[in-house]
Amino acid sequence: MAHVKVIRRSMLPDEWTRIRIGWLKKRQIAKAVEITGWTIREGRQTGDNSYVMYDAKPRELKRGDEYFTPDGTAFLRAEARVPEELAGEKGLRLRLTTAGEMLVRVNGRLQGGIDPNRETLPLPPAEDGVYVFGIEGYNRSKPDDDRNEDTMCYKGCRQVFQGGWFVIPDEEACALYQDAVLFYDILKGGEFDEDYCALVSDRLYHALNLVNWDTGEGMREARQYIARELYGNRLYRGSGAVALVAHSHLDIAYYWQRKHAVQKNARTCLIQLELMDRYPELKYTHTQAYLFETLEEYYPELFERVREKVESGQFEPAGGMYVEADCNLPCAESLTRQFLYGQLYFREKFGKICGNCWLPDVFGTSAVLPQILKKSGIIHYVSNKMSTWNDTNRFPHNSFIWRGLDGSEVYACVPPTHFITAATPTEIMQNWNAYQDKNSGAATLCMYGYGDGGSGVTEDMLQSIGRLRRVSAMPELRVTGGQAYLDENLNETARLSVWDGELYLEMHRGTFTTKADLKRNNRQLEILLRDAELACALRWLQGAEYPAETLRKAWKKLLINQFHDILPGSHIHPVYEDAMADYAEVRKTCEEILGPAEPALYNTLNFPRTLPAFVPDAAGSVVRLGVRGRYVRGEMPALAAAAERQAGSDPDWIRTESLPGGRIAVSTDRLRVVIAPDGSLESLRNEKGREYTDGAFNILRLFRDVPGNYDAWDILPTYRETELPLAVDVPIRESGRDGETAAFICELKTEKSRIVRTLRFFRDQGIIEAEHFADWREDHVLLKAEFDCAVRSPYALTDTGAGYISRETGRNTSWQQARYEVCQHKWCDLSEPGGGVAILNDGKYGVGLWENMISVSLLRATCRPDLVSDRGEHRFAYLIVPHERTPQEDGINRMAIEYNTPLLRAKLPALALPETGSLFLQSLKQAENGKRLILRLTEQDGRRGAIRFPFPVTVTNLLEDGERETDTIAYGPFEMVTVKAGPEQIRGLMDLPKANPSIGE
Amino acid sequence: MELKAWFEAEIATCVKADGGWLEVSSESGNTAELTARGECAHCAALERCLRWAETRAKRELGREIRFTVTRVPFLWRK
Repeated sequence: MAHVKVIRRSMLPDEWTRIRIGWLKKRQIAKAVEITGWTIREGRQTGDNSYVMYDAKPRELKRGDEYFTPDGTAFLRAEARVPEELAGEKGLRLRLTTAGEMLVRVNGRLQGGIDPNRETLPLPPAEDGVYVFGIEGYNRSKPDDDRNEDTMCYKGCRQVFQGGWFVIPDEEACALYQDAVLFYDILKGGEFDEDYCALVSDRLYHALNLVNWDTGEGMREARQYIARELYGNRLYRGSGAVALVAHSHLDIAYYWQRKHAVQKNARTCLIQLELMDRYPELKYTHTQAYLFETLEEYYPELFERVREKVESGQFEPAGGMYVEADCNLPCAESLTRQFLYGQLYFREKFGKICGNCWLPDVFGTSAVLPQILKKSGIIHYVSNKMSTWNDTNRFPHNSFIWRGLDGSEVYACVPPTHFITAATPTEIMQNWNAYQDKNSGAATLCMYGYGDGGSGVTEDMLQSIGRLRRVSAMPELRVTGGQAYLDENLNETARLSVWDGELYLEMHRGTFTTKADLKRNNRQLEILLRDAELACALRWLQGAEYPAETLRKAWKKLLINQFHDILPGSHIHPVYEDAMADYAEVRKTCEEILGPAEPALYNTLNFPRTLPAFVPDAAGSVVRLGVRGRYVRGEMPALAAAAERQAGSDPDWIRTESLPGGRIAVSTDRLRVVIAPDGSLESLRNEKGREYTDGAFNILRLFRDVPGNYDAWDILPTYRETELPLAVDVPIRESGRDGETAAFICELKTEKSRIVRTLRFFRDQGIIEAEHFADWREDHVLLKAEFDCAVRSPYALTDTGAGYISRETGRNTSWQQARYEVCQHKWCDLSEPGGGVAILNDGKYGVGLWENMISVSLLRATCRPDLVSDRGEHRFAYLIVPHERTPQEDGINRMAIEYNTPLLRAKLPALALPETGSLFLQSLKQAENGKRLILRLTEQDGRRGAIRFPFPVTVTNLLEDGERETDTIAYGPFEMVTVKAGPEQIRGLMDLPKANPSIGE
Repeated sequence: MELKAWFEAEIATCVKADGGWLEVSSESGNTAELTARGECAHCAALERCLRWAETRAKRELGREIRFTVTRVPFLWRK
């Protein structure tokens, strides 16, 4: 007879337990008296701490009234005397049930926070029993990590005021509730031994039977029963050790704008400070110098309280960075500045730098980071992302040594579970069970505290931890700080495995491409800021003022927008608008610093240029990316003025022939090409006849791109399954030529979008530029440019911004398969002995590399969280570079730097640096102390060498602290060398009149 | 002031800053049909915002407008 499943429809004992825990929750308040006389003024935040008010004056607010508005701020006030029936009672609290985020002042002092996860706030004693409540309430539709089911019905931009209350808790009910919730979680979480769960189920059920639910009597007996039968039971023993570190993840912008993070941060700090006073064991880890800066500026009283707690060791500044930046997209100098400005702030305000880089939510991390960490005084790296979010392979370590591109090593911790937990027994046990380095003998790290929008630890969590230490089935729990955990558990512990190279996140692959405008602006401004600083440094040596503060502010504005939910594009539309406004401001600042464009052209690179350089010129004959200008040819030596030569006038340097099917054959002295009607290349040969194409080459393809909930974040592995039509509207034709360049243009279209492609050839150059204008109106579509290359190689190279990494092109293993979309910076290359193809871009970071294909992601059209992400007009270009030798020998990296760095239209003195070999002058700036010059040089070709200065220089770390004096510095592959030199010394490298004695030391 | 422009400037901007999206899709007499996207498309309390918008329209435009709404959830297609 077939098995027939028996379905029990009657209530199970655990269900009955759950219902009674719900009753218990409501019984936690012994007495409540409503506070009346509330008034409210509503408005909208316009800046970090400024508002426009909807109400001219406060109005009355009664229970049941609607309050809050979309993106609104509400200022509530009430004055009340403690009523007779509560006078003298212990544990007086304010209770206010809300889905908003509230900063509460009591009698003028910032007292604590109320939000969906915190309904009550302990009140300090008040003279005459009179309390004046002042509340700043912020309404976000996605507040924190809202776990309180009771507030769900009030959620939304318009809420219903539930009233404010004086309440006295029922301590017995509160304690029993905590016990019951804890054991119910053990029972239902699925992480504990089956027999133990059966015991817990039975004892908890019986404990709650001891309560008379009509009168509330029996709670003490129930607690005593639980103490004896559950806390007292030692038969079930947990193993291992879990370190609990309090933390609150705070996105500077995400479903809210940056200005809202000011209050989110203040509220988070306030909540933790208030808890620290009552729970001295609490140690809390807080990141991002920028957040400390805003606290200092807008909430100085709170900042001082934070400073006191930092001194006492309870409040721990961590992370070292200015903001928790994305670590794929920013260039090496940006990452350096994150630590320079972050660590110098921490040193100035708190007397010490951070020893760790704390990035729980970062979307993977570039291999350039370990070196930057080491040279910024950091030996520990922390990120939860790879363990909890990888979609294909389980990241194999939680504690390990991470080796970067140059060989620098740091201790790394990838905690086994999420960075937002409530310190429940199940979450802690999950962490221990998932810990893969148990044999290291070290404890695992479990962060606890609500986050995304801040707020952090709750009193319930601290109560839970206190109780869990009495539960024998738990691992040993160690409440500690972030740095203390790392010092005690990663340094000098058992042999740790080494992970060599990039920490690739197998998720969020779309963030290399989403919001193309942000990526392109970020790229351009990183370069513009470099050049502006370099120009200012050279002018400073000539006696001009160095605008240090202006440059620092501009850098910080750029760095803020490299936050891991801003530059990657995973945010609502107003965040994008804020970022674009910031970029416009940074650009304007740089342009003002540089001054009006001069006829003189200056090469800011420390190597001679070889590519034709486009210069805006109203009288020019070329329109490139919407700008009229001309291509400059001639001598463009390193760090010197360019000597422009007369442009060629013979247009016959390029020859064309119409072929059947609307194709065009193009030949120059360097290239022979057949262009298809859609602008793809059917053939690309160099002057020796070497063919570089092997199929569709430089073809634009559209793919359906529907990744689900993580719309802006992800590109799925299946994205290639649905290719969409892209028709030729106007086939390729020659659109103009002069003595230096020739252009061919075609137009492609879909039902909604139009793409104009221009292929540009250059006299004497074996390169082709593909320029695009896209009127992009798609939904959920990915646009790619793809190149099937006549190259057979198991590896491709991608630029990291400070050196390259090699990526496997095979698809044998799940690790290789998961990397179907990876991050590049200015170039990628697929080569075999005898030649290869490099694609140099002007702001495209996503690329797929497999077998013989390069697949550059150009545009996406995501709908969540930003409904109009990337819709509109775009201009971008890339350079196709077929070459004969290795990319290093053919100078691909330098070419890509050139391609992205315009000639500066400024009159500046030449600077004759010593032979820099394969080092790139990443930064020339005034030192932060305003006295000397900093030169930062990065090896980018993977070579060894030495740089010899004609005078002794100070080798420094990235914080500009001197380490040693020398005139010769040997460097290894991908090493970053920073030196400090006196202005007089550098002046000696310039052809200038005698120094101004007032400058520098 | 035209209702659509007023709504975009005064109401939709605020809603967008909270991750939502409301736009006037049609207007007939004293009734305006809105399209709700983003977080608004699945908000249980959306009606309260509509009433708030009506109150503001009355105060700022001097018009008694009734807003109705069509929700267009994420990944919804016609």
